[in-house]
Order: sequence, then C-alpha cells, then structure tokens
Amino acid sequence: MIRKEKEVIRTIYHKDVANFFESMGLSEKLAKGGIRCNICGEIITLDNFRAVTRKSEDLLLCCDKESCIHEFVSHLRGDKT
Amino acid sequence: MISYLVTLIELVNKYRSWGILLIFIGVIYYLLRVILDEDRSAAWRARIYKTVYKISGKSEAEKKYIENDISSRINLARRTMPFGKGHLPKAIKVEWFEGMEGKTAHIKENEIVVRLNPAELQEKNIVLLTNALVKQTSLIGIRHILKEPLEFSMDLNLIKNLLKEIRDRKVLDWFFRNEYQPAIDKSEEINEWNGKIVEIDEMGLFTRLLLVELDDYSKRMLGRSPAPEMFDEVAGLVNFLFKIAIREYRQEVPLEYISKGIKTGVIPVGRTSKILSGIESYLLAFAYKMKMQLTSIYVVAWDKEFLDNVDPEAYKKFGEMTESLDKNIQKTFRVPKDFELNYTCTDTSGNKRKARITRYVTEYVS
Repeated sequence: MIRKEKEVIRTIYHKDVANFFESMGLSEKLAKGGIRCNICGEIITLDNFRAVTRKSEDLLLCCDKESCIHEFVSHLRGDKT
Repeated sequence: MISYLVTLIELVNKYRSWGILLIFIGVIYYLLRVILDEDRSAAWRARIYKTVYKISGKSEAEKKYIENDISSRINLARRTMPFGKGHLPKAIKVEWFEGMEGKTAHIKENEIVVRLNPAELQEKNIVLLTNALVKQTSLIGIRHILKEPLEFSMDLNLIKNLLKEIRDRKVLDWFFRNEYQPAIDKSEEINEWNGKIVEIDEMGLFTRLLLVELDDYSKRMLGRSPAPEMFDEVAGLVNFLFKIAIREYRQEVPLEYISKGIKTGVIPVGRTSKILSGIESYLLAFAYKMKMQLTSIYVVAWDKEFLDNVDPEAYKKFGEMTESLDKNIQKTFRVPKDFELNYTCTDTSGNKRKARITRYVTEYVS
C-alpha cells in the first residue's frame, strides 16, 4: 500500500473532554472557572470547550463560538509580522 | 443501481460461465483498488462503523466512523485540487487524543487539538478540520508576508474548493452559512480580495498559477526578513491575474508581470479563429516573454466546449494547433515543460469551457 505524507491532527472525542482536562492537570482550574477562552474571554466549561494549542509554553484554549474558533485557527501559525 | 444489476444479469444470461468469470474479475479488480487505496478503504470502513454505531450506539464505533469518514472524504477531495504537479493541501490523518494514566499529556508547540462533535454533527467536524488542514499545510512560506484580508480570502477559497469536492450539500451549506458569508461580510477589504480570488479561481488560475508562483516566490525569498514591498509584489500578481480573468473578448490587458521577485507571463489562447490561422503569433509572444527574461511562462488555452457540436472539424483542428504550439515552443525555445493540466472553467460570460494550462520554466545564461 502506498503511504503518503499526512498532516496528523489530534482530536478529542466529545465524551472524553473531562478525561482530557484530567490528563492535562487542569480539572481543578476548570471546576473553579479559572480557564478562559483566549479569544473572547468567556469561562471555559466541559460543554463549551472547543480547541487547545500551546504557544511559548502557555496553553491557550478556545470556546465553541464559531467566531472564536475561526480566529483561533487563523492565528495558529502566529508568524505574522 | 438497478440498471447495473440488469446489465450483470444480461451478461450472465448471454455469456453464461464467461459472464460470471468477467463479473468475478471485475469484483476482484474493484476490491484490489479499494484495498490498495487507503482513502477508498477508509470510506468503506466509515460506512461499516457508521452502521455498527447506529445499531449498537457504542463510542468506539462512533470514533472509528468519525475518523475514517473525515480522512476519506477530505483526502479523496484533495486529489482533485491541483497545485502544479502535486495536490493541495496535504492529506489528513485524524488521531484521537489519548491521555496516559498517571502521566500529564503533552501538546506540542503550535499544535492544535480540537474537540469534535458527535457523529450526528459530522458536517461541522469536516468543516473545522478542513479549516485547520488548509491553514496548517497551504501557503507555506508565504503566510508571514500576506496581509490578513488576502490570506483569509485565499484560505476561504481553498476551503470552499475542497468542501465542494466532498460533494455533500450539508457540509457546503454549513460552511457558506457559518463561515464563508460571515467572513466576507466582516470587512470591505476581505470582500474585495475574495472577489478577485473567486474570479481568478473561476478561470482556473488560482491553484494552477497563482499558488504555484507564490510557492516559487516563497522559495526565492527564503531567509529574507518580511518587508511591505513583498506583500505589494504578491498583491500585484493577484491584480495582474484578476485583470486576465475578467478580461472581455478582444480586450487588451497586461500579459507580463515583472517585480523584483516574480517574473511571469501568460499567453492566452482563446480565439479559435486566431489559432486556426496559425501559431506564429503565439510563438512571437513567447519569444517576447523570453526576451523579457520571465522565469515562468504559462500558455492557457480556453477551448469552446460548444465548438465540438457546431463545427467538429474546427474543434479537431483547435486541438491539433494547441498540440503543435506546445511542441514548437519546446523545440524552438528549448524550455522544459513543468506541467500541463486539463480542466473546465467558467468564462466571464458564464459559459463553461474546457481549458488547458501549460507551465514552461525558463533558464537564462548571461
């Protein structure tokens, strides 16, 4: 079978969101409402969490608003001058 | 489907054991094609897991359905998006984020990890991952010099083209309603750039010319700090192609674009009467472009689709003349042909036309 180079995108299953926060060591902070959307500032919950990335060692999270996720993905590369 | 079955039954009735053997060979051939093609086999796995999920409701089946369905649909669609000799964007592989027990999971710098929706909202998942894929794997080496409205417009059109090829109206509807329209309504500048990219794309010059030239440009500019002039060069190229894309019949527009880092030219072959009377004027145009030391020259032949019905003789001759033009360019100017792509497009009058774009790369000895 011919294998081609692929872009691997890691995804979180909708029923595993709590496990994800657990494995990142963020459960407590999440429960206290201490995590905010990096774009709009809304408090992140298990229900509205949509994406996460790492920039300069900081974890940045995004809520599930369409406008936020769009901007979040757009600025992903962050290499603008 | 029924007509297929009828044909198969007729085949067996007519040829008996030979018919059965033929069908058997056909089935083996189809299975081999599926097995040897990981994207087609993923499409079959997705169908099977979807059925298992619908019956059992099990999470494992849902996950397998989501990952196989996304990979197969996006990867099969991207095969129809030419980017010079290759395809755009890179193929995708969906991996589930698994935290290891007792260990803190890790996310790499700049890696994006997204939470997917349940299987019932698969169209949202596809649009989201197409977005991420296009932004991660296209316009490499050029993004940092593009101003956001132009970058955004190029991304939007790449995503739109990829989703169109998926051929699922639910996916496309969701994208247009929630992403495309709000994005172009956001600013006048995005709207304007997007309009230009759409026109260029409709003539087939977006992924086959503009992105190919930008890729070359990014290689030439490698290691240089971004400067506003670089964006101007790219914007100039977009405007140059836009004018060609919207030009009216017999309208004169510039056919060479020369800036510090981009030197390219286009020879449009669109007038049947002109090429049927001879290829000399096109060879002269090519010579002129060589004299200007352009680094790439494109011959774009827009065929009249209806010509085949109206005048089959002229249609045949049109094909012969464009072939002859290609041979003569290579023989006379000794320039290598980088690629040649056939496609269909819509012209300014809304007519569907068959087209062929050929890229020649030139080398000059001083």
